[in-house]
This record gives sequence, structure tokens and C-alpha cells, in this order.
Amino acid sequence: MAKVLLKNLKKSYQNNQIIKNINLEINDGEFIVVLGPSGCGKSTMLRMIAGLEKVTEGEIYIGQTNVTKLEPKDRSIAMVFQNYALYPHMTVYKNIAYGLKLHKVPKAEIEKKVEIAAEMLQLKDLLQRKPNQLSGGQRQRVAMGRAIVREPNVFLFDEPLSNLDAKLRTQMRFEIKNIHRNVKTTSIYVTHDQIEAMTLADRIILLNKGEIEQIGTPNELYESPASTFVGGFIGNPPMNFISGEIANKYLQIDSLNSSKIAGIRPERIQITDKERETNKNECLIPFNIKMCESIGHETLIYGNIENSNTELIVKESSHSFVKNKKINLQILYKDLHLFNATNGKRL
Amino acid sequence: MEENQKFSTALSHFILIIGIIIITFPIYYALVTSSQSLQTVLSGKTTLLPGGNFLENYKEIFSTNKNIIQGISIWRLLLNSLIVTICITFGKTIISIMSAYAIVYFKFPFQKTAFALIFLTLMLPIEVRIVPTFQMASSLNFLDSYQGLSVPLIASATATFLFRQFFMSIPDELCEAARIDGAGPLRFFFDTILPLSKTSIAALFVILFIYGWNQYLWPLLITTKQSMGTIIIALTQMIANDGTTPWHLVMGVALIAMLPPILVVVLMQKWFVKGLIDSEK
Ligand SMILES: Nc1ncnc2c1ncn2[C@@H]1O[C@H](COP(=O)(O)OP(=O)(O)O)[C@@H](O)[C@H]1O
Ligand SMILES: [Mg+2]
Repeated sequence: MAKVLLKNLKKSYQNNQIIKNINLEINDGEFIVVLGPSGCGKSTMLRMIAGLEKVTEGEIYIGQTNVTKLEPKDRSIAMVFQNYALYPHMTVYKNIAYGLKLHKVPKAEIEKKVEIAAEMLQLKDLLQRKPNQLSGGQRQRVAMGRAIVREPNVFLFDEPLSNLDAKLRTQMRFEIKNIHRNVKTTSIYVTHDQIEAMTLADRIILLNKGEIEQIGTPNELYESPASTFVGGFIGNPPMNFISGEIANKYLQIDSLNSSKIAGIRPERIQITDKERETNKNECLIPFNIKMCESIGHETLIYGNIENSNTELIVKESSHSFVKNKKINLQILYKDLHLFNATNGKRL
Repeated sequence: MEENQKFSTALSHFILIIGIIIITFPIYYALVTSSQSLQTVLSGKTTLLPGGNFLENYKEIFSTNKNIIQGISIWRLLLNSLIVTICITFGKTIISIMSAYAIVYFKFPFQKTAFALIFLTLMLPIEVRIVPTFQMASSLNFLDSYQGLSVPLIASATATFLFRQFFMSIPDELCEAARIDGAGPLRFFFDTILPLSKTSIAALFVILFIYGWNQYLWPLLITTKQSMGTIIIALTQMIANDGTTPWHLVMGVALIAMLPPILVVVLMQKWFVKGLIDSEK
């Protein structure tokens, strides 16, 4: 159990700065998800914490110890990899026990710990199998078992569920959450999947091009994105953006001009068929429907604001509208997010 | 459609059978010759049917006081060949697996250069570098010794390359997982790399054994004493220029010289299959 502290962390390959000055404090027992598009430096950051990648500049603390220059094995961390990285020639038991064996833990104690972990992960009947006799989900559980028995101060996960199919992913998500509830070890979990991030995280760190875009609880990221990037990344489909000029025509907000961008979530837009009076809390925007996609319980409507090329996506639960029809979108002012048009930051 | 398939099966069998006949006929002929008396062989009336001297001839070859070449029995020659081949096979495997490990898993100055140099020697077979190698071997007093027969042949770019390719196919995460588990480089090598390389090593063993066993030019150069000769060298020395060649025995020795590589292939084949069944990658 320990805090993790990143101080001015930087990483460059040759002259290419991948991680740009990250400062972060992770609380004891917290489940942190590092989220971001692929290539933004999530793995690099995690691997620096693990000690697999040299730190170009800055410091890493785990607990009270400055681990910046320590070997991975001396950092009291355990890592779960995307491709499981199990030793193919060892049985499940040996895979889980290997780290303990190397740390010279007495045999009886190893047996006990492996048994407890196997119980927790439902691996008891599989202990004598080799990894290639296991399914993907089972392999990932073994990888998790290998991490748990070490009783590290920090768990590191690098996209551990990406190789699993959708159903299994959901199931494993619950299991990871459960394990964390049980062992309460500080965890840093890297993923590009926002559903994983939203469901698992105590706090999400949204990374963009090696910089922290926003840190906050899943709700904070969804409800008040710190920038257009966050708004566009969190939520499915992503937030709609309307330039200030266009918005100004329909939205009666004084300050709205070309230096600003308005954002609205697709699920917060209502469709009203007929012209009607608006009250002071809402506005109507004329809209041309181009295409509808039904995904069962709801429908995605694609189209553009009349007399402009601003494309919007609307998420609706009803199907009662006709294609290629001009309709009105009803937007509540309280659902609007305003951003600075030049740097994308929230206003 | 079915007719067509039958025809193509028949055709492929036909081609394969012809290939087998072409390859095995000389061996069969050697077997026939080795079962005849010298007179029959020399009379030119050899048939394609075995003669009646089979046991006699092989008894003669294997008897400890029969000189295959001056003063040397076949046992000595086989032993020489075996020692040299084992040295070459094990030496090559050990050296190449270690150098491949270094090249793939360690960062050191001139790493690329080191690999390039090893790779370069692929283009220089023993025949090309035989004169300088001989000079070096002789100044190291390696003439007429097992070291002389084996050491210069031990460095192997091919095997290094093979292991390198195999190691590069092992995911990096495995090495990283081992580092996190607390395994140092040696530990990782013995606990993970070596067990994973079993099948590659087995395959290489077969290839290198045949390579070592069939060495001809180098043993010919490096040995002057008959007692250090290998079976392959002896075979050529049995053929005399004055018409007194005991052809029936030469054929017998040739067949015997073929046996160990065949044995290795047959025995290791089981290993291959085993390696394939619980494929561990
Ligand atoms: N060893 C390396 N050498 C050079 N560039 C690298 C290396 N490893 C990663 N990168 C670069 O760093 C960036 C971030 O990589 P990574 O952390 O793996 O991204 P993510 O995990 O977020 O998808 C990528 O643009 C990648 O090309
Ligand atoms: Mg990654």
C-alpha cells in the first residue's frame, strides 16, 4: 500500500518528447485509470513507473521511496500486460509462484499464497495446466494471480483486457473491480477504452500527446470536460461542437462570438417536430437529417444545422421522425459547454 | 472431378517414387556390393541381387585387428568422428545461443557492428578462410588434435542467426515480466530462454551433427597422423591408386559411416514431434 508521486516526469526518445512534464499524486489504495488515444504515451508513462523504461527527467516516488533509479524488482510493483506475458513452458502454478521463488519466499508460504490467489481467481482446477491450454480470460487471470501473490505496493495494468472479446471484457472488468475491493492495492490502469475507464476508475487521467488533459472522477470528465479534447474523447458518440458564429445565430447568449466554441452532448439534444415558442431556458436549432442509424434501443441521427456545414450527431430513444426531414433541435442552455476557440480550454 | 483427383494423387506418387529410387539406388548398390566377395566385384559380374558374403565382410570390417587404413581399426575412426562431431555440435550450439542472447537482449556499444560481423562470416565458408585458419591452428599447436579438428568449426553464424530470429519472436513482455519478477539476465536465460529454445536446439542438433560428421576438407588438412583421422577421411584413403582397393569393404564402411547421422535424425524426429505437440509458444 502506498502513494505514488510523479514529479516533472519527462521522457524523450532521441529528440522526440513523448511524455511532457507530468505531475501527479496518486493516493493510497486509489484506482487510477490512464486514458487516452493510442500513441499518446500511456504505456511509456506506465513503463517508467514500472522501471522498464528509463526516466529522461523527473522523479518517481512509491511510498516514501524515490524509485526513479531502482530496478523493477526493487520497486514493489507488479504488472499485468496486454498479451499476458506468461511463461509458456511453466504450469499455471509455477507462473504464479515464480516471482515468490526468486524472492526466496519459503516453499510452504508460496503454496499458501498461490492457493489463496487461485481461490480468488477461480484458477484452482487449472494450476497444473500450461498457458496454451487456457482461454484468453483464464490466461489474464493467471497474469493477475502472478501480480497478486507478490503483494506489491502498486499494481500496474497495461491494457489488460484488449485481447479479450467484448463479453469476457465486461466480466473481467467486474473481476478486476472486485479484486481491487478485496486487496485495496493502489492501481494504475492504462486503457484506450473509455467504458473501462468510466467503470473502473476512482479518478481518470486523460492523456493527450504526452500531457495531462484532465484529472478527475469519471463524472467530472463527463459533466465538465476541461477542454474540447476531453469532450470529444469521453462519451459515445462524442460531444458536438458548434463554432461561436453559428451558435450565435440561434443561441441567445451574450458572450458568444467567434472566439468561443459551444459543446453539447448528443444525448442532451431533444428533437421537436413543429415550430413552437421557446422559453428562456432553451433554444431551437433548425436541422437537416442526413442519415439515421438504429442501434436497437436508441437511434443516432446525423445531419447538419440548416444553412451551415456544422455537422451534429443526436442520440434519440424514439424512432418517430422521417429521414431527410427538416426538424428542430431543442437545446437547454444548462447543457451547453463553452470552450475557448484558440486553445480549446473550458471557459 | 474424382477422376482428376485420383490422377493427381497417382502422379505425385509416381514422381515421389522416382525421386526415392534416384536417391536410394546408390545406397542399395553399395549394400549389394558390400555383400559380395572382392572377386565378384572385380569380375564385373555384379548383379543387383545381394551376394552371400554379407556377414563375412562386415565381420572383417568390425574386427578390432582389421586395419581399415594403416594400423587403424574402424572403431578408432568412428570414435574420432564421434568426439569431433559432438564437440562441434555442442560447441556451436552453446556459442551461438549465447551470442544470439547477447545480441538480442543486451544493449552494448557496437551491438549492430557485432551482429554485422557475425553475419558477414555467413558469406565466408570454411573453404574460403581455410589458409589463414590453418595457419592459426598450426601456430596454436592444434595439428593432429581433437581441438584442431573441432574448434575452428565451432563458430557458427548460421546457428547464431537462427537463434536470433527465434529470440526476436519471443515477446519483449516476457523479458519484462521476468525483470519485474526479479530474474536477472542469467536467471532469465536458464529459466525461460533455454526451455523455450528446446525445439530449436533439437532441430539445430540434427543439422549440426550431420554437418560435423560429414566434414571432409578441414580434417584432411589438419590431420597428418592416421590415428587422428575421421571415418570420412579414412573412406577416401581406402581407395588406393594401384588397383588394390577392397571395394566390397569400402562400400561397407561407407554404409556404416552413414548410420550415425541417420540414427540422429530418426531419434531426434521423436523430439521434433514432441516439441510440436506441446507447442510452447
Ligand atoms: N522505444 C521507442 N523508441 C522510439 N519511440 C517510441 C518507443 N516506444 C514508444 N515510442 C513512441 O512513443 C509514443 C507513445 O507510445 P506508447 O506509450 O506506447 O503509446 P500508448 O501506449 O499510449 O499507445 C508513440 O508515438 C511511439 O511511437
Ligand atoms: Mg500502449
